[in-house]
Amino acid sequence: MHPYRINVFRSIYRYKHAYLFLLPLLVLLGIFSYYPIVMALKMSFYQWKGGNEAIFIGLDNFVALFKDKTFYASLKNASWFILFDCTVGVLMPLFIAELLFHLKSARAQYVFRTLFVATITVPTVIVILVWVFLYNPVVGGMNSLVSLFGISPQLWLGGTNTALFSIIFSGFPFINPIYLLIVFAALQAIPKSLIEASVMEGCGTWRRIRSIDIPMIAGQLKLIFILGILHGMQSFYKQLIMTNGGPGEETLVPGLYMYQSGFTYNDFGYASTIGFVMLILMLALTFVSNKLIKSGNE
Amino acid sequence: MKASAKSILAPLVILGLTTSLMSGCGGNGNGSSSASPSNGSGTNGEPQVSFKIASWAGPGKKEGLDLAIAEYRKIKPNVTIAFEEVAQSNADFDVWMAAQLAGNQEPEVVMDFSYDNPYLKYNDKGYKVLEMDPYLDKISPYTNQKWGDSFRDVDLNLMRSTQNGKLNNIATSMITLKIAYNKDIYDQLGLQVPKTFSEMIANFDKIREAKIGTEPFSGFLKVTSAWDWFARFAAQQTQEQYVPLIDTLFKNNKYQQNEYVRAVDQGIIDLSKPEVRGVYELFKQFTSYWAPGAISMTMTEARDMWLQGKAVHTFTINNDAKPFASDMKPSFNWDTFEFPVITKDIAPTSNEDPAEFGDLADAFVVMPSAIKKNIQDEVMDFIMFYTSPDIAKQLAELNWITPTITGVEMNANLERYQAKYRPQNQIDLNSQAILGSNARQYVLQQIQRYVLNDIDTDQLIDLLSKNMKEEAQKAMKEKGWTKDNDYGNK
Repeated sequence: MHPYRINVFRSIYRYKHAYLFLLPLLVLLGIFSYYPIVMALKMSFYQWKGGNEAIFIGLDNFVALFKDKTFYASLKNASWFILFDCTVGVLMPLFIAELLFHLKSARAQYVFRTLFVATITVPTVIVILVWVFLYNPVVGGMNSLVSLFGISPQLWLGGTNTALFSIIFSGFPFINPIYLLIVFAALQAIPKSLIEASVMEGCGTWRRIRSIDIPMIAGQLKLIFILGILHGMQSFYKQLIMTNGGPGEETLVPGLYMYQSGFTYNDFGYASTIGFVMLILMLALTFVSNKLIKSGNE
Repeated sequence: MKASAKSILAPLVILGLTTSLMSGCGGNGNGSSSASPSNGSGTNGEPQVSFKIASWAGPGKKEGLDLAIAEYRKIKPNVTIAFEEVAQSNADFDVWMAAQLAGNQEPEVVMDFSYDNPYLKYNDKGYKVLEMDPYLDKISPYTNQKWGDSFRDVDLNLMRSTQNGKLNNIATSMITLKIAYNKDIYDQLGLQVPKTFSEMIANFDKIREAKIGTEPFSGFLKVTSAWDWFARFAAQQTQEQYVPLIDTLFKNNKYQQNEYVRAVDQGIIDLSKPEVRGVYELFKQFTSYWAPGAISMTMTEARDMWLQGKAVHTFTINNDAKPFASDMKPSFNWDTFEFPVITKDIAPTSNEDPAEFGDLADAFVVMPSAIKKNIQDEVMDFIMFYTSPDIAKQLAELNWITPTITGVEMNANLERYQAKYRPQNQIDLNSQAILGSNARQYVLQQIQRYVLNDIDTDQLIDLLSKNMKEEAQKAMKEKGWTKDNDYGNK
């Protein structure tokens, strides 16, 4: 046997207990994560109307999907969500983390950090419903608020030009607590000596953020950037609750289109095709981002 | 065990066994969930009959049936009926029924959906359910008149299968749609309840002109319901002439999907014709009085706006009767009216017959097992009892449902939802619902754009026509319908 293989087996044997503990997790991961992917790929070659027998139709679902204008409209809408998640969704946690990091008092830092992170406990659906109420042009408060700035009453979720951005804006103030914690932890990991040296060299705050903080936490920023892509691409429940994809297709996104195809139109084969194409798109976007954005460690 | 204890227990065990054996001999199987007719005789000499009714779970369903069964037991002690909720949803129920039918174990009666559903679910699969037409002419002992006279002809026609025109189910209740209005504002502005569409629009104009801080109507267009209601209501009046043109395969004054597809394929249905196009235009006119934001609102949100006094009218269904009488009681005086008539001056093809929307529900279907056991007369007697005014009134009070039978006295709140005009025909060329959920959703999306003025009527007609033809072609391809096989009829 090749010496390399012998070494691999020796290594496995040496850490047999660790592998034994990992095995059940790997099996579960295979059943609940990878098996559905394989099934989605398989069913995308079938015409499958729920309970009925699935009929093999080859690439028909893929051909139909690539000709489907609704799918392209949903991708266009999703690109706005991705764009927003990858820009404002990254910058706001960075901004807040920097503010927290620069607070002099450790107690104040703790209090503010808790206040920002505590929002994670509020059920998302409640937040969405509050926004739905705020956006109601008659009984909600948004029109009253914008009238203070001289803006005329809007239809918000019911308007062709306003619905998409109303959903995006419902994430205000765009601070994802998990992203905030990731960035804040990364800032805290920067060696104090480095910061002290920069102060002694007369480095200002802005220069320090640019030349020390951002390069030092680039790995974490890259992570939340990729998470932003995935979050934007998979976004679905806000659109479902707030507009159900309307007016027309103005707020339809691939995730919602997949849901509607499966559970409204009973076309699970086509829904599987959408899901599989989404998976490929997300993998491609993640791969490209990984290649294009270099973190400090790379 | 001590000998003294044994000497006490042994006779007790023997006594218990003897008692249970004797009770088993004389029993009528009350405790059993199986539903086989017994050959024994009751105390009054009537033969013992027992059967089972099954359905899926629903609010008040079990309470209602248990009530009717208990009342029936008082007058027919020889009949034992058991009701069982065997599934949580209608989909689970279908799976359960398929297994029961396959094993010849089905209950004698099921409470299912009405319309074509029983035919498609049972007859079409070779299970001959009871045809109830002959019973319509029988005298009901509970009304002393022909059983069929308890129902409106239009409802019976809707219950009949589109495939063979037979009555294979009897719906016992229905969902009725009305327009709720704020009576206080009507009194304040001196408005009269509208009888025609034009009168309703005139009322909306007066409300808007009065500038009293309320919108004329609180509608919703996030989901298809409100649009579907309008399309069906308007089409019943303005597109009746299409029924014989579409109903060409079965000629039963109703049409099914392949008849509709045939009409699309042969160009009989043309959305640009004034009587079809006009419905879209009327809907747009109607929605121009709706509160802003209706596009993204649900029926609940629209209703809440009306309850808050922010709109004078809203859609309401009989399910609202109970909350409107209790925890959601409006803070103002209110009442309902039927959707007003579309007159010839705005739609020249209108038949001007008052129409309203209402969906049939809770339909009894008598299964082959009852026929096999020759107890269909006994089963139908119970169904006649269930659909008698006394029981229908009690059920309405209990579950706040609107019965399908006529002449039932109901409480004041439910009376507001009593069906007055029933759908005169089944026609609907605008919503494309018959072509499936995909087509229906597409129409809704374009309607949303249309009422927001993103597209004009011509663009709407173009988009919908194209999609209608594509969906019809898709159905033909999937189901193998062609001109040559008469769209699946040969």
